[in-house]
Amino acid sequence: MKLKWNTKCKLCLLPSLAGILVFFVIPYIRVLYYSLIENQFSKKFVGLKNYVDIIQNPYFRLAFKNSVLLIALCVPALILLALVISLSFAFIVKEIAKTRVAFILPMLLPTASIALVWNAFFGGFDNVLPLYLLFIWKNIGICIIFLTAAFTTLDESMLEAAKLDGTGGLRLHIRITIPAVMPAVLFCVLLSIVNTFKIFKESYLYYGGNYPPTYAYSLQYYMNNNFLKFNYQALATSSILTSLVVLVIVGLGFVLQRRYQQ
Amino acid sequence: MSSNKKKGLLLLTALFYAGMILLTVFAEDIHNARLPQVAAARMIQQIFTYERVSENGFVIEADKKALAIPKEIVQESCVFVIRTVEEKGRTCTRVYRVSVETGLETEKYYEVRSGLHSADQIVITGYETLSDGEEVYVKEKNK
Amino acid sequence: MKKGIRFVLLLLAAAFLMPVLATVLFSFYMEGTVMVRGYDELFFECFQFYTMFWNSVFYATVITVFQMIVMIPAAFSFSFARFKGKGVLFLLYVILMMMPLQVMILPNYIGLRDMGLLNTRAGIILPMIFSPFGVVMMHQYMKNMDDAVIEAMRLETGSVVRIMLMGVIPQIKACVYVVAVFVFADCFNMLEQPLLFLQDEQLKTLTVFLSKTGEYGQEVLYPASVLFMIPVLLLYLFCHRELEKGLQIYEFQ
Repeated sequence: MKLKWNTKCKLCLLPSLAGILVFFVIPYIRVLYYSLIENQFSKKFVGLKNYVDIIQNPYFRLAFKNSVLLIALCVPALILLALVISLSFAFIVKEIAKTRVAFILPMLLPTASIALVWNAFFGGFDNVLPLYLLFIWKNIGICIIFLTAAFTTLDESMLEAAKLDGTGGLRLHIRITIPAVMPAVLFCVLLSIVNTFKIFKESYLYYGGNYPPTYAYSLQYYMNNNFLKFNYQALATSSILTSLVVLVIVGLGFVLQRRYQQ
Repeated sequence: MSSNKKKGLLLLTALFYAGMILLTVFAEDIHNARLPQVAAARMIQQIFTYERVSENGFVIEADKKALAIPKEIVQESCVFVIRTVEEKGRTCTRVYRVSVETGLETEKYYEVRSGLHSADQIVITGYETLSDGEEVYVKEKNK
Repeated sequence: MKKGIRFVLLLLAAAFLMPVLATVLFSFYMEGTVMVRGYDELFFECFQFYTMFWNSVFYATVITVFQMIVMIPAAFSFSFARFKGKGVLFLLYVILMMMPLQVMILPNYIGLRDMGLLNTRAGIILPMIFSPFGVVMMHQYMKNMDDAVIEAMRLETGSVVRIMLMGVIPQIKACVYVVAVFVFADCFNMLEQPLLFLQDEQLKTLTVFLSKTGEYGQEVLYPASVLFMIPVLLLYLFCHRELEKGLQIYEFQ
C-alpha cells in the first residue's frame, strides 16, 4: 500500500497523539467533569458551586497566596540574577565557560539528595527563605544557558551599524539589544513561573511531609492533601483553577512574544 | 572530549553499575556472614525422675515429662531465645537474654519451670559471646 | 575589573556546588568522626535500597528510550507534514508541557485506575512516555534543520523510517542528547507518581526511599543520596559536550 509522503508524515504523529489523548486530554476532561458535580456518588450537576466554595476555603486561599508570593518574589530575583551572570559570561569573562557546569548541575541532580543537605544548612531558618533559595539555586542553570546564548548570538553587525549611525550608549541598548534578547527573557520568565509549581517536590522533602509550616503551604500541598483524603471535588476544582491560571500566564507569554517578533 | 576521556568515563560507568550489581547479589550473604553464627533448636520434652511421697507414705520415684534445655547453654540462669523482628523494612533474627527458672535435672538437661514457652527456639551453639538484642544468623537446624 | 568579576563568578560557582559537595562529605562524616558506617549500613542492611535503586534506573532508562521512539516521529511530523490545525495541536502540546504536575495527578490517577494500571510498573512508565516536553523541544530544533538533505533523500527513498534514521537524526544528534539527558534526570527524580500510584514496596523508587527519613535510620540517608546522584552525574559527564552544543544552537519560540 503506497502512501503519500504527507500522509506518512502525519502518521508519525499517531503514537504520540494517541498517548497524549489517552493519558492527558481525556483524563483532564474527566477532571473537569468532576469539578462540576457534587460528589462521586450522587453525580449531581452543580455547576460552579464547587468553584465558589473553594475560593472561600481558607486553606485554598492560604495556598493560593503562598503560591502567588513565590512567583512574585522568586521569578524576578531569578531572572535578575541570571541576567547578571549571563552578561558576565557573555561579555566580560568569555573564557571560563566551563564554570557554567556548576550552575547547570543543580537542575539535573536529584532533589531528594538536595533536600537533606539543605535541611542541614538551613534547618534553623523559620521562614520561607530556604525554599526561595532552593528554587533559585535549582532553576538558574537553564536561564543562564538561554540568556547567555541570546547574548552571544546578538547580531554584532546590527550593533555596529547602529553605532555608525550615531546612536550611542543607552539608546543603543534600548533599541537594539533589549528587543533582541526579549524572546529569551520572556521564555525564561515563563519557564521559571512554570517551575515554581514544580518546586513542590523539593518543598515536600525539605519540610518533611504533608503539612508544612504556614508560610510554605502552597497550592500543590492543598491538592496533594485533598488527593490523600479522597476529596476529589476539591482536588478537581483546584486543579482546573490552577490549570486556568497557567493557561492565562502562557497565553500572556505568547502574546508578548508575538509583539517582540520583528 | 577526547575519546580517551570518553572511554574512561564509560569504564567508570560500567564499574559503578557492576559494583551495584555485585552488591545487590551478594549483600545479603555478606551481611549474614558477618553476623554471629548460631545454631538454634526447639526445646524437647524430657522425662525427669523425682521423688515423692505416695498415698501409703512411701517415698517412690515418679516420672514427669517437662520442657528441657541442655545444661551447658545456661549461663547465670539465662538462655538466649531467638526472635524474628520486622525492622527497617526487613525481617531480622535477633537473640534475647531470658532468665529461666530451672527445676529438676537429669544428666544432660534441666527442667524448665518458667521463663520459656514451649514454642520458643533457643540458642544451642555460639552463645558464648552473644549480647542481648544482637542480630544473628541461624545455621541450619540439625536437631 | 575583569579579574574582579571573574573572581566573583568563581565564588558563586563554588557556592552553587557546595550542596553537592556537602552531601558527599556528610556521607562520610557522622557524629564527629570520619567513618564509612553509613555506607556499611546502607549496603549490608538496607536491602530495599537495591530494589529501589534498580527500579529508579529501570524506569528512567525505559522511559527515556521509549520516549525517543514516540517523540522523534512526532516532532518529525510537526516539522514536515502539512495538515490543518497543526498550529493548534502544537499549541496543545506546549500548554500540556507547561502544566504543573499537580494538575495532572488526579487525571492520571483516575485514568490509571480505570485501566487497572495502578500499582504496576506500566502505570508509571506509560504516562511519562507520552510527555509532550520532548516533542516541543525537538520540533524547535528540527525547524532550523537543513531541508535540502531531506529533499535529497526523498528522491531516493519513500520510506519515512529511513529518512528519519539516516537524514534527520544525525543532524539533530545534539538535541537528542539534550532531551535524553533531561528526560532521564527528570524521571530519575520522579517523586509524586511512585509515591501516590504505587503500593508495593517492590516497585518503588529511590526517591521514595529518600523521602522516608524515619524509617531507615539517619545514617543511611546521606550515602543513599550520594549514590542516587551518581547515575545522573555519569550520564551528564558522558554527554556534556553534546549538551553544550545542543543548548547553544537553541533558538526559542
